[in-house]
Amino acid sequence: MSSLDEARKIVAEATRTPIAALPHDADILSLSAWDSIAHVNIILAIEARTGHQLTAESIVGIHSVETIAQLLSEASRSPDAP
Amino acid sequence: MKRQRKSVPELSETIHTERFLLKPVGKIRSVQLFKKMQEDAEILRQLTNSDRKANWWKLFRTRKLPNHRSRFVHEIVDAQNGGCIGYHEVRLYPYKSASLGVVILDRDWWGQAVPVEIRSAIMAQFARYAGVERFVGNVASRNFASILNYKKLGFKHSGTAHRSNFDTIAQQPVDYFSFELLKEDFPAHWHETKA
Repeated sequence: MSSLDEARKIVAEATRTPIAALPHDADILSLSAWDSIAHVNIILAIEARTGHQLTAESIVGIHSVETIAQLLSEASRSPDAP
Repeated sequence: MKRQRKSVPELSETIHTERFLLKPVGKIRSVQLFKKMQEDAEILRQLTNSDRKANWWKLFRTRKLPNHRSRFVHEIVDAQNGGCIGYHEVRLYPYKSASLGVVILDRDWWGQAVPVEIRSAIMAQFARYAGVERFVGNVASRNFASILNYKKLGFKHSGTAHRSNFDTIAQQPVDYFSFELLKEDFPAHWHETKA
């Protein structure tokens, strides 16, 4: 599964949006179901996938499916990837 | 001699939003709300990085209580049933700046976009009548819900204070983010005064 697909899956699950209905460019402003509880679940899901706590810089940079995909992609290239 | 900021009558008015009434409160009511906040262990930890509660005397002495000139606390009241669901704090300081803080005490309202709704209304009031040109907020880096709310309101991340506090429960340092919203990014209707 590509990082983008994985990011879409995380956001779809957290926001309870059917994955087919989730735009590739979905972000916190365009997706109304991306509320504060969904945001908490998204970050915890990313940490579970990457196997470590995100840095402050990574946390503050999360605002769209695309930024999540970038994080997952970087994490998979890291030498200590799970 | 320290110059006292003048009291602005409009800032002491109740603000009405779609779902809430935002009532400015005095010192005693604000201490009651701070005390209520301490009863929720999760909120207490999120705000203080500790599980230690302050007693009445300490709250009166150490909290920045409202004076209706530079410090304001609004009680958030459910317009449907009149129940208090939390509170919002505003502090004015030079230059034309205001810092913000919000606590939603009623967990049934978590995830219901309450901070976004009430902050929009409060910031509009303070932009109009207190001449605020810059709103700021500081939030712990793992307070994900609050981070999202600042972003939804258009705040920009303006910096990170690394290891600036210490979580006495987890026994680890805590980073804080600063967010700010500047005048040029305010919605146009904030500048309109009431007819």
